[in-house]
Formats: sequence, structure tokens, C-alpha cells
Amino acid sequence: MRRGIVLYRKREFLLMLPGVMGFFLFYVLPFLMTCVFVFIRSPFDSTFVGFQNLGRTLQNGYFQMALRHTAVFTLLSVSLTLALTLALTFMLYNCPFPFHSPFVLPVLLPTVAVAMVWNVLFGRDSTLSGLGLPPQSALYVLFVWKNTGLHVIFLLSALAQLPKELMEAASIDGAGMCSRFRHIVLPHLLPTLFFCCVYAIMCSFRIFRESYLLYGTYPHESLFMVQHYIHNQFAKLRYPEVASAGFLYAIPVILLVALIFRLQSNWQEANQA
Amino acid sequence: MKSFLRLLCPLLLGLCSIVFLAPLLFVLTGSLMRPNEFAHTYGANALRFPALVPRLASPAQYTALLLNTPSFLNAYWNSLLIASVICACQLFFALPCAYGLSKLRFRGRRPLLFTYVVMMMLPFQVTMLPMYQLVKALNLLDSRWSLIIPEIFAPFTVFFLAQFLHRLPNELIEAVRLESSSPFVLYRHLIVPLSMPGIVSSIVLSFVETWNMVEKPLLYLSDMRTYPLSMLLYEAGNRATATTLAGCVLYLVPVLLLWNCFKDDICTGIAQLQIK
Repeated sequence: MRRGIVLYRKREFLLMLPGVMGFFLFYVLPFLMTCVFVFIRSPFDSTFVGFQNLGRTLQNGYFQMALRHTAVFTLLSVSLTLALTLALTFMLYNCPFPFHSPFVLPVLLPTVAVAMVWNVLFGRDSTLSGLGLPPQSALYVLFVWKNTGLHVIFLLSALAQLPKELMEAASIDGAGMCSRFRHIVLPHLLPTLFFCCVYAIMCSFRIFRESYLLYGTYPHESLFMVQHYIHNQFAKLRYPEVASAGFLYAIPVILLVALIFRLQSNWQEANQA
Repeated sequence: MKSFLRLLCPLLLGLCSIVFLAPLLFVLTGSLMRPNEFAHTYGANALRFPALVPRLASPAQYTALLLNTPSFLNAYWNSLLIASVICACQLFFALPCAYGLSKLRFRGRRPLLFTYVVMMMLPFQVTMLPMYQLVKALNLLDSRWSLIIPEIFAPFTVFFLAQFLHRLPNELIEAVRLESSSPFVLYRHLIVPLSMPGIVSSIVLSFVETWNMVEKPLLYLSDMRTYPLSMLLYEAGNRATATTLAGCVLYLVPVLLLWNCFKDDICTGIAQLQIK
């Protein structure tokens, strides 16, 4: 019997191999090649140059600016999205009928379709710039508009799994709305909130597409991010800069994912204990 | 307080949804405008706020696009082909991977999962240069396959499906394994039926992602006959006309259809997502 179970596992494992091999070929291998390109002079000349490329990129003023703006954009856009998500989730939870379709629709709409309208609505001379918002808020609005819907669905589904009897029992025992939220809802939602945070960060890394569609290769100064830097250097055929900027971008991401994994295993251990 | 909330929330939600759906509305009405009215609304001396209802609605743009513009139909077909092939093949390759990552216990499972998540989070620009070289080495440079083949192994689908497969009870899997040693029986009778909402959700999200592709075609394709619709609309959008907006509306149709058909499945699917 033991041999039988090992045989099943082997077959299922073998089924997994084509997908994993493709993943390694098209995703891991290019990343490793980027790492190699960082330390050689160029993709066509494999003399080892050590940390020269990295140093040159780090000292580049545009790269530093791009790094700052990427961090600012990620923090600000993720916080705005999560804030709006929480507000909408609260309202949808208290709404007697399901009403989430209009909010999920922007997730599905391709940006190309709305880019033109966006420039008119939020661009330089539009109504909303009259409200005093800077013109680069167009990208933030686009990001929040596009990504709130899916996060709302995540949180709403998690809330739906919270047993209503628990809330009723708590309110019978005299807990007000605030303490019910703090002691019942929030601990239940914490893993989902964490997942939403991670997913929002991932979406914010992919903002280049929207930014390119709205503004082209050279957006407003405060929206110039590392992805733009890499894209423009690629167009100028400056491959060492492309590789080192990509490598420097990947390092915080790897650290972040390692942190997430560590936190998740700690949380699982704490839960099982 | 509770009844006050019950009255107030639908109102606020109604307002919010009007705000959320407004851009779609503008795209729709803009596509129905005649060229001179369009230039007046969206042109250089644009009004501060685009008109909500066109003064004279005309479907001239739609007929022009559908009947007189073969490049539009060609690009539409390209997009459909690319997106459906990718979604079908992704399912074929990603489901066993997701099952392996979530249920099988093998050495290196956690590092593999870590690699998947890291590659999922990195933007395309990080691996842009080696990918271009790889595609060129594989001789796929001006072909639609350059878009299809790397996307088939995309880590997001695997990760998403793995989250769904987590919730499958191990006892059922053991029971099926006792009956038959073929993994295909396991998939056909247990995994696919139980995680259908999850599979549907991941297919729809994949479709949306590939329907919306811009950076990869920009990099790999230079022959206009292979352009997907997203690229064509992007290039045409530089000379903004009502025709482009009509193209955008037609571009939205498959995605809206998919959403309409699979709305419940998607929401059920996400509700079953076991967030770890």
C-alpha cells in the first residue's frame, strides 16, 4: 500500500512538471539572466565588471527620483484603495440587496478603452483640475477606480463567513458597535486584509501599463517610476542600466515576499498552538 | 440606527456606483457622437465636462468600423485568438501545478511557492531584456506566439488556483486514490467539479489580463497584422476620434459578456478562496 501511494504521488508530480518547466524557462531563467547581466559589462561582452553597473545606477539622479516616486506611489495608492475598499465593504454589508456589480466592472474594463475619457475628465484643463487636485492625481484615481472592486469582493466574502449569531450575542451582552468591530470583526478579517494589502501592492507594481496609456514614456515628474526608467533605458539600448535597475527593483520585492512568508508561517503556528 | 443605515447605504452606494460607472457611460456616449460634435467635446478646445447625451446620436462609427475597417476586425480576431488560447492552455498547465503546490508534499515545495510568488509580484520591466533575447532566440519575434507561449506559464494563475485547491479535503483525495491510480480520474471526478467556481474565476481573470495586454505586444510585435486590439486602439487613440471610442465599446463586449455569464461563479469562487 505504501508503494501504491508513492506511485500515485509520482504520477501527480510528473503531471506538474511541464508547467513548472515552462515557468522556469520563461520566468525564472530571465530573472537569473538579469542578475547575471548586472555583473557583466553588457549582454554582448561578458567581461566581469563587479558592482560598477549597480553603483552607476544607484548614483543616477533619475533612478533615485524614480525609486522615491515608486515608493510614494505604492504607499499612497495602496492606502487609498484599502480605505475606499473598507468604506464600500461596510456600506455593502449593510445594504439589504447585493449591489457589488458596478464596483467590480472597472476591474474588467481595459484601460485602453477609458484612457481617452480619463484624459478629458482628469487631465490638464478639466473640471476636476479646477477642484484643486494636481493633474497627476489622474493616475491615482485610475488606480483606485480600477482596483477597489476586486478587493471589495475579497473582503465581502470574508465578512459573509462571519457568523451573525456571534455579533448578535455580543450586542446582547452589551458590546457597542465599536467594540464589536474591534474584538470580533477585525481579528476575523485580518488574514483577508493582509491578502488584500499584498494584492494591492502587486497591482501597484503593474501601474506602468496605465501610466503608459495615459501619459506615454515621459509622464509628469512625480509619476516617473522605476518601470519608466527601465523602459526608457531599454529604448535607448542602455542594457547595463536596464539590468541593474531591474535587479535593484527586485531586491525589496524578494525581501517583502520573504517577510510575508515568515509572517504567514508564524501566524499558522500560533493558530495551531 | 440599524434602519437608518439600511436606508442610507443603498443611497450612498447608488451615488458611488454612478461615479464608478461614469467613465463607461462617457465612452458609450462619445462613441455615438458625430465627428464634429466629438471634436467639439473632446477636441483641443474641449468643454470642461464632456456632454452626457450626444446631440445627434449616430451609429455611423460602428458601421464604419465593422464594415469598412478590416484592420479592426483582424486585430479583434488576434485578441480573441490570443486570449482564448492562453486561457485554455493555462488551465491545462496550471491546474496540475496548483494541485502539486497545494496538496503534494515534496521537498522544495515551499521554495517553489516562494519563487512563484516573487515572479508573480515582479513587474514585466525587470525581466524585459532577457525575455526579448529569449523570444528572439526562439524565433518568435514578430509572431502572436511570442505573446501566447510565455503567458501560458504565468505564475498568477497557478497561485490563484492553489489557493482554491487548499480547501479540498484530504480525505476525499485519499479515497479517490484508493479507487484508481490514474491522476486523470482524480482531476475529472474530484478536483474539477469541486473547484469549478475557482477555475472559472481564474479563467475570467486570465482572460481580462490577456485581453488588456499592452507591454508585451509593444515589445515583441512590429507587424501590424499581428497586433491585438489593445495595441491597435492605443495607436489609434493618439488621433482621438469617435471611431476609436466605438472601437473601445466593441472591445469591451466580450469582457462584459463573460462577466454577465459568470458573475455568480466568480463571487462564489472568491468566497471559497481560503485566504491563508
